[in-house]
Amino acid sequence: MSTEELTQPELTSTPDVVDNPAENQTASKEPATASNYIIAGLDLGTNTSCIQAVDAATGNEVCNTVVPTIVGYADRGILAGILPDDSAELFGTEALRNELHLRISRPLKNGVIEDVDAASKFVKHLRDIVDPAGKATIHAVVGIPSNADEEAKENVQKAVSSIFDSAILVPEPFLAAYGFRDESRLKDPEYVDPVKNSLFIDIGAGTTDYCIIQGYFPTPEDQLSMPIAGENVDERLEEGLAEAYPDTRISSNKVREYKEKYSYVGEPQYGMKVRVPVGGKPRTIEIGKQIGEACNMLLENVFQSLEKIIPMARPDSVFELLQNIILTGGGSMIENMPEELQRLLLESGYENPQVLVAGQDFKTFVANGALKVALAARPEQWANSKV
Amino acid sequence: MINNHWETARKLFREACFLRSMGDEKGAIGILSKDMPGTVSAWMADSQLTAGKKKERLQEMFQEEMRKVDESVELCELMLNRFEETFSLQIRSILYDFQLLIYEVFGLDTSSVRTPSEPIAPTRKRAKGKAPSKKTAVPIPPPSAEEMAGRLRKFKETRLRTNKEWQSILFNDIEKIIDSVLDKEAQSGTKTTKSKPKIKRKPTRAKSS
Repeated sequence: MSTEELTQPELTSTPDVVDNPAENQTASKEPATASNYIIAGLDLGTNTSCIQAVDAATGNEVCNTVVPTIVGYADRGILAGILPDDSAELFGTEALRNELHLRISRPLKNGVIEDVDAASKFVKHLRDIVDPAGKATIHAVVGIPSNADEEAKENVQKAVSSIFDSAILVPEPFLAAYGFRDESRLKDPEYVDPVKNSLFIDIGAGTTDYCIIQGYFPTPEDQLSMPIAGENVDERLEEGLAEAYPDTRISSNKVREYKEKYSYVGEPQYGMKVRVPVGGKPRTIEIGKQIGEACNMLLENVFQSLEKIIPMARPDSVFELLQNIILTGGGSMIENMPEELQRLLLESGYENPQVLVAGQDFKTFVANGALKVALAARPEQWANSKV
Repeated sequence: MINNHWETARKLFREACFLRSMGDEKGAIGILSKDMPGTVSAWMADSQLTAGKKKERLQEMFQEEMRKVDESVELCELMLNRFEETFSLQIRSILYDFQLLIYEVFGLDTSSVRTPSEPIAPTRKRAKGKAPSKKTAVPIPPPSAEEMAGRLRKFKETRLRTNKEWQSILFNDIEKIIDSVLDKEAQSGTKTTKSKPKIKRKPTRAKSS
């Protein structure tokens, strides 16, 4: 009955959480410029994006990079020498580093593109990481949220059009499960194939996606997407802190930082002290209660949604399914999340539930699955998906 | 005659290799110690080659046959794994649909139907002197022909309604999944105006460029 962390699928390399093309090249086995034909998998996430690419001719990894999904526009009239290379636009960590001098835009909200222009510039930035010379032909599989409507899909198409030579859009929950699956261990009797009968819960920044995977490509009916996720925890935490400490002003980025550092669910925990400026002077405040309240709100919502999706599984598969509930996404890293979810399921009368955590590499699963799909695509399929 | 002895030796050696790869060590040794020596001696007697060349040719043939058998066994294992992975899911799905059909249409309880992989539970011996309980033995009248026809129609409608577009695509059938995604995209007209004319898809896998 204990929760556990599943063994990670073996990635060709660990992702570089950098978005500097020059740095990225050093992390690659082959210089990206050597490739004329590149196959890529892209996860365009609300909070962070991940791109994995290989040289189609050699199979060598070109890049495996996680980049915060942020575009920063330089303020007009900013003095020369303040921003790196006096750039008008910065992306990812570089944008965050220079936040003070930039107008920050987050191209995605609730898992879907809100600012197509910014998203397109961001995707172009990712392309520059993969192919700094800009000469290669790039075919990419791009993840789309399970709740993506026609407009959302069209926005993804617009964002990637003219940047990649062709792109195939595939639902993210499938890609996450496929990326998480470790084919090299399928013969291992100890290995539980996650695509046989599992329920994936991807607690992202914008949405929490639920997907039943039972050996088939999931249908829309096998999926559920709820707009309660990490961003809502941030909002709740910000509100809670403003209520408890009305004289303090804490930026959204700081709130997210606190959440990522201290998040937990279950009984209230104390002793989480942070230093914040009050009228320019430092003050230490206790945030344990507020963190717990914000995260427990998410837990409650995840549990309620879980109760909706479980009956959607085939009746004869439910008992086995309950033993393979796999948590992924940033929310899976919240302390006690699997244990508390398991407890709630048990208390609600579900038999022998087992909630597992996909692991630390959750940011790469969708891109990894997308790359696997991209590598299996036939030439004429790429030809049919020109953008 | 020379060729016949040579071919017979080749076939015998191949058979021995196969038996050995299947774990039949005894059978392999039998061929190698009983049948092979005579055939090889006959070929050596008939052949015009020098003793050294004869030995060399035999060695080459042995190596070649061992390699062929190894490759065939490996290929067989690969195919079997692929077969098991693909078809076990399909069979489970068909079995499930069938159970659903006989439950919903004929009203028969199929919960006790075993899948082929499940072990057979040992039958319990009835206690002596006790009559079987009749508590739950209330006979349910079989459904009429009309009732069954109605249920069958309803079942078909439900199955058709829930026969989702992607349901039949196996998780590892990536090419089919991509085709579905592209077809859906084409139907919904998601494509940008920059799209180039489509190339007609071929039913078989194209050779990689």
